[in-house]
Amino acid sequence: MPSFPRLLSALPLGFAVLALAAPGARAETYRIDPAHTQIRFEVGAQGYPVTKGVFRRFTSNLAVDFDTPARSKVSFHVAAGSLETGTPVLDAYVRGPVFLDADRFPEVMFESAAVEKLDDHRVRVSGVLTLMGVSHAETFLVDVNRATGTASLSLSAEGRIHRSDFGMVAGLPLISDDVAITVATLADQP
Amino acid sequence: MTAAVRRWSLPLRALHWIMAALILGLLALGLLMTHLRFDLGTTFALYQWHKSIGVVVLLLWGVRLGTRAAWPAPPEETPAGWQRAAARGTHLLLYGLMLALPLSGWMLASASPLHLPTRPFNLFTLPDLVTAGPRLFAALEGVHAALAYGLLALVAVHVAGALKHRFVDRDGVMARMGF
Ligand code: HEM
Ligand code: HEM
Repeated sequence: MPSFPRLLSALPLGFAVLALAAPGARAETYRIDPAHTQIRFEVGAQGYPVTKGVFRRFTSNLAVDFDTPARSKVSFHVAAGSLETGTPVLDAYVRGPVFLDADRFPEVMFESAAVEKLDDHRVRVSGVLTLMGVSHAETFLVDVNRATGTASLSLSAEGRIHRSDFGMVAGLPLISDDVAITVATLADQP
Repeated sequence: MTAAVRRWSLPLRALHWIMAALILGLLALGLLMTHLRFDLGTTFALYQWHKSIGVVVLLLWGVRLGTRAAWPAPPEETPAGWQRAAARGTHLLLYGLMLALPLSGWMLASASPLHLPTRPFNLFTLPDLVTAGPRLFAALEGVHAALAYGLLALVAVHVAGALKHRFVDRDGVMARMGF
């Protein structure tokens, strides 16, 4: 869990209240800034500290409706071949046929189906994750924070998937089935 | 140097030194990767290099046998006697171990409880030689390590013999493998 300073995290509460008061607001499109976005994952393996990695290339769409959060939408298309762990030999192996099979399944996709407001700056996003051609329902908890004085949103999503749900069973159970995924991003209004 | 140095064929000399370098590297890499602790990524990379280079040694072993069949060995330099017999025996054992090590390594990789496919240089998937299992893996680990230590000892004897020829006997044996 990212630890935002208490004071900062209290601010967006006020904004949310203001937004609620504004009549006739609708879903606003945001541009996710790739330079300020990190798609990370963590996998455990017996006898080793967690292995961390990132995906470097993606495209995404984000529309936020502050009045009716349920009408918000988000999608990510991530290039499977852009995975990096810091060890090129491992990268090539994980991108290869044993794990991601990026040649056959070049894209990892997430498409939101429902957005549920939990409190003033947390939402639960449920949707469909498609990995290695297999689609499976997943949920992410998202912290939404409005940067003070700007229209930018800082978003931090966390989710856990079972890679076996997608048919990725290599190395089980010594390499854990659980994969933690976090996406931290800064989104601006165009 | 005498005008007529009776050398091994060029392909065999090339193979001797390439394989010597690879095998000494594999011994060092094998010991390093099993005895030092690294993060998963580094350990993984070291194991893949070890297995990939090991498979190259296996292929070169076949080429080397072909080379020995295609070109006759140069006439013996050393007079008949225990030293000549010892050298022959050592070479024969070296050939055996140069085959047994990659084969046992391949079996070991197949038996691994982690059971990830071995992909030499990430080019193709090596088929499994045995069914994976923790007990078989533990046994093969012992075999592969014992063979490796045996090879290390034999190489020490072999190199000591070569150095004796070069610096004590001062004969042309070393030159037979030179360029
Ligand atoms: C000439 C060829 C080879 C040599 C000299 C060699 C040498 C070694 C050595 C010295 C070790 C460390 C043993 C220990 O102290 O535990 C080792 C471990 C290992 N070797 Fe090889 N090796 C060779 C070929 C191969 C091949 C072809 C493979 C697989 C395709 C392989 C797979 C392994 C594995 C998986 C281990 C680690 C075992 C463990 O985790 O305990 N090796 N090797
Ligand atoms: C790095 C130090 C080494 C030196 C100085 C060295 C030197 C030599 C020399 C001078 C010969 C020629 C002997 C003769 O003509 O009677 C020879 C042959 C041979 N060496 Fe080495 N060697 C070394 C490493 C190795 C290693 C690591 C291996 C294999 C594990 C090896 C395997 C052989 C074999 C099998 C022969 C017989 C020729 C053949 O059939 O290929 N050598 N070596």
